[in-house]
Amino acid sequence: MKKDFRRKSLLFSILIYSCFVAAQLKADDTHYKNMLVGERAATMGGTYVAISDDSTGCYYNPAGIAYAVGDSLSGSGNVLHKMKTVYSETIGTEDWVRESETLVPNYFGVLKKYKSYSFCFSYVVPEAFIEHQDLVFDNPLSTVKKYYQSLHSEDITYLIGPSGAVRIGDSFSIGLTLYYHYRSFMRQQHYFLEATDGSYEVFYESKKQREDGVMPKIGIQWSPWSLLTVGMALDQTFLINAPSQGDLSYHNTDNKTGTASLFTTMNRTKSEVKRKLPTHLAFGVAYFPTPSQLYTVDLDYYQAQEKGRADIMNYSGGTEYYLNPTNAVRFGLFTNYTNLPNTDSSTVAPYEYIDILGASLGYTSYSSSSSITLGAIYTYGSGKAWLYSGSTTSRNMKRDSLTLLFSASSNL
Amino acid sequence: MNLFRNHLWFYIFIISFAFASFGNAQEFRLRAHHVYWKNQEANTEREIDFGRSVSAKILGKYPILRNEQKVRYISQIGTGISAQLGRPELRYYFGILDTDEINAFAAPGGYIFVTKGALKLMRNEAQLAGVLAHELAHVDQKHIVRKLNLQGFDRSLTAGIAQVLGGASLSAKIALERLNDLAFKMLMEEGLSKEDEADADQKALEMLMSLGYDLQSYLDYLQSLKPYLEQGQAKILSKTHPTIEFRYNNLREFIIKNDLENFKGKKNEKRFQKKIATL
Amino acid sequence: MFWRKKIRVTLTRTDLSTILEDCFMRSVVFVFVVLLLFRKMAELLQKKFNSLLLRKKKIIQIFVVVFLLSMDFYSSSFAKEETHYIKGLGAVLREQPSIQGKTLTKLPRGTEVHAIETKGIWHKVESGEKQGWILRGQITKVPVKIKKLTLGQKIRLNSASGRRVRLRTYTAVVGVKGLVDSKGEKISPYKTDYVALEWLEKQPTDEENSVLFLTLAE
Repeated sequence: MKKDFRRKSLLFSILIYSCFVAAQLKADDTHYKNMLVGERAATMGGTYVAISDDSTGCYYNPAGIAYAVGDSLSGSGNVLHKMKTVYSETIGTEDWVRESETLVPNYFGVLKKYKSYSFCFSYVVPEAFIEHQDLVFDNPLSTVKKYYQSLHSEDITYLIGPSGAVRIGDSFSIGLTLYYHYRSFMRQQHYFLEATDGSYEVFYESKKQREDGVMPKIGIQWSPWSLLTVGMALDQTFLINAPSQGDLSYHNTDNKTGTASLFTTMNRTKSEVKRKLPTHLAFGVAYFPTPSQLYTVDLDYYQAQEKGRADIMNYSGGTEYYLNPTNAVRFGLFTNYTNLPNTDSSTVAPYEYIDILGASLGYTSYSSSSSITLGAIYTYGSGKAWLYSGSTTSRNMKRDSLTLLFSASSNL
Repeated sequence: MNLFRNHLWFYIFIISFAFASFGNAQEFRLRAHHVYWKNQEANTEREIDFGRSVSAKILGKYPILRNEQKVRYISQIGTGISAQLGRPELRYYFGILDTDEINAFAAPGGYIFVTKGALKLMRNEAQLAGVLAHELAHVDQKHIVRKLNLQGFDRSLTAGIAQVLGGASLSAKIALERLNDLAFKMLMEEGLSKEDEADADQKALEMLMSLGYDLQSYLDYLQSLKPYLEQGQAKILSKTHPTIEFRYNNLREFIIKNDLENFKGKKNEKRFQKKIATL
Repeated sequence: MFWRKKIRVTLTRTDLSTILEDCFMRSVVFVFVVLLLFRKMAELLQKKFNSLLLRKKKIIQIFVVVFLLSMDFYSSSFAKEETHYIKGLGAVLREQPSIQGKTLTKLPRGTEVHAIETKGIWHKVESGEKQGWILRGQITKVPVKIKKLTLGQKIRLNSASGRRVRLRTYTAVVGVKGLVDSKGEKISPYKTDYVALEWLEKQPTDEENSVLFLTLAE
């Protein structure tokens, strides 16, 4: 009986190896705050709904741009975003480490005021993920002699569009942003497995997807009392078309019989995969006690529109302090919860359940008409991952990321 | 999502434009760097720097009269006015230009010049005070600085880095020297707008009134310029200022509106004649 | 709370009709948008709240809106505080808005005052206990600071005698040639004279004496 069990488990292991990497390797669409945007907002934990009064405000709350100081502003931000995910004891007893590193200009915006109207045009990259892996394992398991895996994956989302806002009275403003949503995803994966009994597997997959959509965002801001502002913003992304294309080829030889198995020819499939993105309602409060201090808190509510996703609430808070009129520092904390429902004993792969927390720090140097900002955002989370196709076995996982940002803005 | 509801947001947004308000709002949003630059502490230094180079150009065109007693007299009158009604963060300088042309200049930062020719035309101290007050008003109201949008110029390191990172686009990409040339040209050829000149005249009267000087004297001085506009001595003055009729009427209106017809002020004719005699 | 501070400034500035007009206009749009957003939010939170609350939704809506409106109305009906500073050396507070008005008191430079009313070129201000009229040219919104030294004076004060000679040579050269760049090409077509300017800046000025000089009758 023991021998039987062992043989079964060895076979099982091979199947595991051949299937576990089929887990979706995309940018993380289970979390909404993977990358923070805007020099001031990002260094305050992405808390900007009640402030939003410069060219980066078009993305957080378009109503805020009605209160921009100065007639014209422009800003551009660049981020170096590194992310590392570790799945413990996943490949035999070894950890599986995935790393992503991107250097992107993740923001650009121009704002112009005219009397009590404000207009803005901005370009935002809220999600950017580039991963490349070349793994080699010798004898990871007693039944596996060699395992090679090569993987390259890119997933970037772009938003670009105009915004407008108007001040109504002294304490109220309303704004609207209309973004064009474009997402480009591609993944190429190749693995080779040689078992100790001489059989081998070769797998190749190339997947590519594109999304076109619109994201309207409406916001209001209100100042009930002097020194206090309250903001609310609502947005939803609607996909217009989302073509997907996949090429797959798989080759397996069984040493005993010497025959090759199925799927040896390249197979191309095309489909339309329009995901339903959640409705996002943000609510924020900001307190401006003195020209040197600022405190703000945000609540972001995401209502899922797709089956299998849960509604979540993210919290964030930030503060800004001016050491003197030319130097300011910022600090923020935020949550980045997963939008997948909670797991139980019946959860099967592919599944990752991980909640992430983040902290941000920033410094800005001001001159009469320009400013430059340096900032760092660190996030960390731990959870569980179900990686083996068809299995309910889970592994511990942790993910941490570091984003360095440097951006500039100026009065035009 | 309900398509109709989508459009509703859009309609609300459009309608809200009809209720737009005007004027400044939510000043508490201004952060420390806005407040600092708004109060123009650093801008004043830049203004003085700029004004010095414009003044140097004025002095390059007309020689300065190096008579210390006379300059001291002008300076006392001018400083007295500026101490009471000028910008407290500036130090004002008053000089006499050694030329028979009739004119007076104000450069940003508090540099004010009167020509020998103008002084010879004046009859009493109230007229001198009026001319100096007019020029002072130009500096106070920053007419030249505003017209050139001087505040947009930024040569700091931060601005340089910002430019490299792609976020900056400076409004005044003109070299400072070009801006300076423009200011000088404005003083010598174009002049300021009618509104600015009328404003300066009015402010001058306000200053005269507050110091107890006779108001009609200044108007008389303007009238006395008339014969020289054609002759040529006040040619530049006539090119760079609105007509005497316009200025006179504007001032009369101001006097009537503020009930100053019967205002009796001092003229200090004797003191004036004594100090300016040997010109 | 911060709105309490505003009660001190007079209510008499705004009259009822402008308050109503202003508020009505704002309230209409505000109510409209808040109602819609609130409805949307209630919908979204539907799953979290039980049905009982949903029925009371309308009541809650109205209550919230009225509450918010009252706050809006309250905070907007007060005049804004305007802090000014006395910039003149001999600023006089008068009883009436006229130069013939009786002198109440003299205010030193830098005193903080609050502007209440405006009449032509006169402002009614209050400083502590005193209240009176002052010319608009004698007050400023910018806080009063010490006088700035010009660059010319800075050069004189900071450099040793050897250095000063070199600087003067430079200004003399510049004065004669006009401004040129490193190649000798003329940047500006206008001649400059910094030597004359520096002479002018050296002339003594004394504010107190000048003010006295002005007030002296001949």
